[in-house]
Formats: sequence, C-alpha cells, structure tokens
Amino acid sequence: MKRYENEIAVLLLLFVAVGAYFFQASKHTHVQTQRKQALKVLHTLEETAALKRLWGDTATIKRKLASLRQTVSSEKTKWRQSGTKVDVAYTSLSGSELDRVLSKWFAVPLRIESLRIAKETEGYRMEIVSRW
Amino acid sequence: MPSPRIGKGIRYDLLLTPQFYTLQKKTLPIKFAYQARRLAPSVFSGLLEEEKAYRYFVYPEGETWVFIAYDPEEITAFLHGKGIASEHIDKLYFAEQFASQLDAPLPIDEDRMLGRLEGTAVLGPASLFETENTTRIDALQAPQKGVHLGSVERGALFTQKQSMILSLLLALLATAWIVQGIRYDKRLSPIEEKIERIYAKEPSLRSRYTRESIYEKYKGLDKQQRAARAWLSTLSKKLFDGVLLESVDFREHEATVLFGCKDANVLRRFKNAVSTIDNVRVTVMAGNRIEIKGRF
Repeated sequence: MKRYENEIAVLLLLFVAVGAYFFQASKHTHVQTQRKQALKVLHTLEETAALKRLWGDTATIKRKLASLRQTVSSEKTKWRQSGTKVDVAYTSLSGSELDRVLSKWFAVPLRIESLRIAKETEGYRMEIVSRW
Repeated sequence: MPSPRIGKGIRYDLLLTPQFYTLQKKTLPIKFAYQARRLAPSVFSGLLEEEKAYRYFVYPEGETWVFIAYDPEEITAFLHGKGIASEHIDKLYFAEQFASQLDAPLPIDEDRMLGRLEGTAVLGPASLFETENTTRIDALQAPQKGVHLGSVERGALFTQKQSMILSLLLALLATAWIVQGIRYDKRLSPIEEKIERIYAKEPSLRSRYTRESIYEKYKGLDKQQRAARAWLSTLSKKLFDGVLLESVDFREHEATVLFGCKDANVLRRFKNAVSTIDNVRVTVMAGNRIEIKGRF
C-alpha cells in the first residue's frame, strides 16, 4: 500500500473534489428551485398587500368619503350611509360640479355598483351607489 | 548488514557511492546547465544499459561539466532491499559531488572506503588508499544541489511532486466548489427578508388560506373597477365643444352613455372619435344624439 500512497492521496482528493462538485451542483439546482418559488410567493404577497392596502383600508375610505361629502352644498346632496354602503343623490349640478364630483368619486377605492346621471332643466341629477 | 529502523515521518539525505551512477566529465563550449542536461543522453551514448530509465544530473566543475547518469528504480530497489522506503529519503547526493572534500578517505564499511583518485570519487578496498587519516561523514558539507528520488517506486503513477501538485489543485477545486455551494444559500436571503418584512406589516398574510382569500376578493374588484373607470375617463377625453352629456347609466360591468350633438357635423366627428375606443357599440339616434354602450 505504501508504494501507492501518493496515488491513494490523489484518488481520495479526487473523490472529495467530485463530491464537492456534486454538492455545489445540487445546491445550485435546489436553490434555483427555491428561489423561483420564493419569488412567486413574494410577488403574490406584494400584490396582495398592495390590494389590501388600497381596497381594504376602511379608515382611509371613510376619511375620503367625509371629504367628498363637502364637495357640493348640502342642499344639492342627499347622503345615505349604512354599514358599508353609501347611496348618494345630487341634484341641480352644473357641468363643472358634475366633473368635480365624478373625479372625486373615481379617486376613492370603492366598489361603484351603479351610477346614473340625467340632464334635467335645472342641471344634472346624479345618483351613485357604492360599497366598500 | 542489519536493516536500519527509521521512525515515521523522518527523512534522510543519502550519499550515493559510485556503483549507483555512471560518470562522465566533458569540457564543452556551453554556459548553462539546461544546455548540458539536453546533451546528457548523447554524452552517455553507448555507455548505459538500454532497458533502464536513466535520469541525468549535471553540474559545472571549473571549465568542465560533470554528467551523472543514474537509474532511480535501481536505487529504490536497493533501498527496499535494506528496508528503507523512498518516502524516508529527502535528497540524494552523488559521491562525486564530495570528491574535493575527500582529502582523506571516508570509511563505508569494514573493508571499503570512499576516496579520491585522480580527482574522481571512487569506492575501493581500504588498502587502495594509503593513508592513516579518514574523513568522518558528519564532517562533509552537503552541496547545494542534489536530486530527489520522488516517487519512483515500481508501478507508481506519479512522482511525489506531481501528486502534491495534483492534490493541491484538487483540494483547491473542492474548496472552491464547497464555498460556491454554501454561497448559493445566500441568494435566497434577500427574498426571504423581503417576505418577512411584508409578514411583519401584514401578519394575517402568513396564512396561505387568508392570503389567497384576500387576493381573490380584491383582485377581481381591482381589475373591474379600474377597467370601468378607465373606460369612462377615455370617453370623457373624447368630448369637445358642441357635445353635451345627456345621461349615464353605469353598472358594474357595462355602461350606456347618451350624448347630444349641436349638428350633424359634430355628430360625425364625435362618432369617429369614440369609435376608436375598445369594446364600444355606437348607435346614432334621432335629433343628432348618439348612444355609446361599453362593456368592461
């Protein structure tokens, strides 16, 4: 055996090197797979968190609704709010008031269930039903 | 002569007496040892046994070049016969390298001595050297150059030097691959850290069921509401002077909008403009009115 001890040492190191190669190769494959899965989870999480922040933030929605209530004078506004539903009717809106009201409603993250606008002799009549 | 006992890991230098090598001295017009080494096989042409694998050792001696041919296998076999493995041998020196120091002969055993005759180291009976004085081996000064026996064991594939280089390369490769393998794990950490930061802000999203439920709930709503608002916004951008909104009937997935136009020319222009919007159905009605229906 002593005669071949150099060869044995080289052979042992060769096994170690081959083992190390397969270790890094399998790590690479494993990490790539895990990375893909983690990225997918991260993407879904980021999107879900963003959606929740936008559509599920009731405090912000209520604050924006309170501001929206002040947009048009109370004589022209009939505001009904119960639970998560808001039912609002505006009457005698000028063209510019209609524009402003619509822009404000569209900026609030609410589910607009229905919107009706009709031109009447004294201005526009607008009814909107929303929910959060 | 009994075989010496050599401790593990101890290495010795050996002085080879002339029976282990063939010597030639030549005066040649060359300056460098590598040139002399190239010439060595031709210097010994016809003097050596053809079946042996000789190696050559060359060094200058004044104006002369000393050529030494030796067979490592023969030396190894001899050492084996004495129970000495080649791994215990460090450097080999040739007796000729000590010729200048052999003013008095060096006793090799009871009968033989290593001495200098006509400037060359020779091994001979004690009677050959007519002197009372002898040189002690520990009084000899080793020359700078010697040769390594290396792994010249019969049947061995590599010399010790080759195996060391190979082993070093393999060890380096193995280390590099292991380090690389460990480093791959670190590629995951930035993503995992981001995920943890989101969980810290939204603990409810840790549950896959809750996460999927929230996603399903808001994804459809977001898509539909954005599409509806974008549709109305696009439509409003098509308006121009002479077009008046008459009514809107908007539900979650569809809308009907009625416009009144000042004259037929405005009606035609407006119709052309709104026809470019996706998913619309345009109907011209009596009294220069136009109805636009959309789905989203």
